[in-house]
Amino acid sequence: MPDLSDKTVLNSRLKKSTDNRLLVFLRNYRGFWVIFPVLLILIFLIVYPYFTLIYGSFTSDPPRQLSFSLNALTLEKYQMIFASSQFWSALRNTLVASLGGMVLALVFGVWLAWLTTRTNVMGKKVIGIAAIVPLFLPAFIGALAWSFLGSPQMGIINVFLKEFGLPFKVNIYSMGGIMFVFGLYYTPYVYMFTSGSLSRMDPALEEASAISGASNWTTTFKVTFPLILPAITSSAILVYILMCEVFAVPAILGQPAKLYFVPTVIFNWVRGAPPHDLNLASAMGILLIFVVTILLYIQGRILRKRSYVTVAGKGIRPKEVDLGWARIPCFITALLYLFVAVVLPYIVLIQSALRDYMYIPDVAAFFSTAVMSMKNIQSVFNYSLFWTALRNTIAMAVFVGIVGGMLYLIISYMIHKTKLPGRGLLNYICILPVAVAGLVKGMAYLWAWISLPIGIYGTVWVMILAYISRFTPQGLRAVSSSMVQIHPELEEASRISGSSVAGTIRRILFPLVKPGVFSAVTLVMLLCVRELSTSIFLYTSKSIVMTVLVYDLWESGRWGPVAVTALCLSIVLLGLVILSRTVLKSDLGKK
Amino acid sequence: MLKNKNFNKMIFALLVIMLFSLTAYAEQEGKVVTEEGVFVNDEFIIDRATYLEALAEGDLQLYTAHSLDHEETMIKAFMSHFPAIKVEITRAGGATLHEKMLTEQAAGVLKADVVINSDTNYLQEFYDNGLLLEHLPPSDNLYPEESKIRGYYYPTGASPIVIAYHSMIVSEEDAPKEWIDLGDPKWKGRLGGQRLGGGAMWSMICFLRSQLGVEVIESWGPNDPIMYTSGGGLANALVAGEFSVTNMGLYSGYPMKYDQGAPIELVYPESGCPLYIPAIGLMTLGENTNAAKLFINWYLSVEGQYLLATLRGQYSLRDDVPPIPHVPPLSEINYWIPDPELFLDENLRDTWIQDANRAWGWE
Repeated sequence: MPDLSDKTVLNSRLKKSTDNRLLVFLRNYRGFWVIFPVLLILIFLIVYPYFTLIYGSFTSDPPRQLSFSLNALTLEKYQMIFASSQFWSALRNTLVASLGGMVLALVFGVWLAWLTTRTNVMGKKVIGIAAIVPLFLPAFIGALAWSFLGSPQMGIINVFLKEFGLPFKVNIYSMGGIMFVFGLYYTPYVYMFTSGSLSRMDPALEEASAISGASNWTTTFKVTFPLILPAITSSAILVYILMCEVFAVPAILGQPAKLYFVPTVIFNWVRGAPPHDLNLASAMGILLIFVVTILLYIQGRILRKRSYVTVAGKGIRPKEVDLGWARIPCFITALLYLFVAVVLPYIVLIQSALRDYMYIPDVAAFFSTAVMSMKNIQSVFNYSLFWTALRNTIAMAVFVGIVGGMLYLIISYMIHKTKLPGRGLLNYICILPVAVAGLVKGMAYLWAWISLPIGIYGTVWVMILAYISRFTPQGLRAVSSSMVQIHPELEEASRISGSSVAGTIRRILFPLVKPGVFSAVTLVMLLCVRELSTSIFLYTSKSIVMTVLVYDLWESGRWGPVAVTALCLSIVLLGLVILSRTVLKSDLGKK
Repeated sequence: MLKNKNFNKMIFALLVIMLFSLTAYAEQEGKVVTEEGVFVNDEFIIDRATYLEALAEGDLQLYTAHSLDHEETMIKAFMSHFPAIKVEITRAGGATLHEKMLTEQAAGVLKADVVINSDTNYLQEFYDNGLLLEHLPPSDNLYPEESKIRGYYYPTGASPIVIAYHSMIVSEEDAPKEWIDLGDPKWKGRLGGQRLGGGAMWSMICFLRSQLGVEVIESWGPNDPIMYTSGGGLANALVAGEFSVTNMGLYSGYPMKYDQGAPIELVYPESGCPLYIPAIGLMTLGENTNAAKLFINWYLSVEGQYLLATLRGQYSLRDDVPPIPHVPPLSEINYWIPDPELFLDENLRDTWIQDANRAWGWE
């Protein structure tokens, strides 16, 4: 036994023991150091801006400087909101319309996904395209187009109904109208998230059901749909939250009917209607967090203790349901969706782009070329900011898609394929951007990043960072939907065969999640091109983007040039999708 | 590496190009540079010393609430005289622009040289907080006292709020002539309006309430006015026939009627037309003060004012600027400029707008 009274030995022992403890700590928590850089990035991109916003909701003055004080905190804004009758009616309208819209989007989306992936329906490719084309139209433009189509006074649909002597009228300026437009424009999200799961399903259970004598329909409803419940639930929750925060649809279709929604009330407070109060707007904007928390809790309860792994070690090819005589009628239902969600709004846009003004009192006027000219097209193409905006939009979308896609892949891997400490925290941080109403997100980035001495404010970089932050939930969701379906047995087999972690990721995992990653890149690019509420706070004439230009033209009352620019925007979106399909081989419908 | 000889040739070529450019620039139609200073169409714009300093600065940051396409045309016209000064625009709606500027100022990154806001209240707030730099444009005396804070901010133009109706749905005889006529029950469900809050709509409420009485505002309520979020949206909806009559700024109706040929008619009520007046000012925190002075002076000159008036469908408050085609001269309109004390009273503004919202069922 060494002499413990010997100070030198004692000190040496103590040092050794400290070193050991450090080693033990580092060994146990070395994973933390892997996750730490990602966590730092997310703190900068998400936590800090949203914290600033939350802080702003608890103060009387906007947090325009990089300083925080506990003494400034107050519940005044929340008290004002809860005491306001406008808030409760706006909240009720928002929750109800989003619920209706979500149900419609689920019905349309799951139906189209099932048709294209699990049946022998006619015209699968057409249906696949139809299901995602509404994404090419920003909700703002879609709502404007629908106001021309379904207005009770002069809506084009009503003009035709009257011409044919039909005794009913469409009124898009109503709760039902808003639900309908929500449903149409959020169907692509449901389609994207469910079609991937459906196409990658292990058919063993369905085969077992069929062998037990169940009909195709029974198998579909009792086996297939329950198996893709995670995809259905998460897409339902995602679209519900997105509908709750979207501003354009309720503003354009709700306000003429005096229907107020949470985002329209926020808009009024931000834009200067009394009370012009940004702190109040912040408080209202982050109230959505509570709704999101409840929804995520419900999702967790539904999915608890159930495994939804659908890609395992054996090769699979899900069996197609033979629709028989219903092949054509089912195809027609998809065509109907295409007609209503895509063809009708684009007819309005093309008509508007070619007309000097939009007044269509009867069917004859609809087909008349008397007030048609190329004026709107010429005015847009002669507008130098249009070209700047076009260039910026494409460049930023591609950059954000690629850089964001890489970041979302790393985060998704850490969350779903590792046991790293802090991975749960990453997951929660990544949800945050979707839980805050869109209109105040721009303020969050402005308030948070403007004071930082890194010189990004006023450049395209600030917008790029804001986009990467803003679309984290959607991008991560897109990557993760592929990631969670990969059975661990594939990685285990690779490791047993002597492959390193990096080799397993490169040779096994990445090829399997590649479609999901590439789809995430495409999705994020599309979302960037459509984004308005953040850009409006951060752009300058050098970093202007197409949606800001469209909005500016709309505010000036120039509907014709708005239509031309919106059509160009759709072409950009289509081009990006084609580019993704060609270069990345990505398919938004196969996530 | 360039050889010395080539380098010299390049420098020579550049000098020749610069000389040619300068000659062309000096001969730019309408602009003359003398010992006294710069003149555009014989109107004095700026003294020579400031002009030369402006050229040396070479850049200008313009923060504006005017629409981008209008501002771009203005800048092109300005740069046709002063191509050495590059103007960068930051554009947003009045309240958003103001918030953005306050945030930038708090963060110490506000570099705006010139601000144009659609709502004078925001310029007044800047003035009160010492954010506007004193600058007396040569045209100072030509602008009415009630439309400016002398030496600090000036009106970029004035757009009367008028009555507009759809000429293919409403006949001239049936059309409303006065503000009180919009309360006629025949317009029930056929009356449109713009969401209240911004400078234009506050001008209107301020006029109706202070000059014609709250009864006029209340009389519109039973007609259940349909609300739109922007002046542009309102104008489009009128043209589309969503409703038949409305109140709107001339800036929305004029381009619709005269540029696009839309079937709308504008009525200037004899009881008065409130003027909606955006304003321009020089910022203290800008780095290009001389370029900013040159820009403001040109913006407020006859040339700048007339061009802006044609773009935005408005009047200049300078008497010597001719009215734009198709509209009566300002002197023939019973226009109303709000008393600044009334217009800038924020508590009154909130109360009156909320009252109007309630009366029109927009709460």
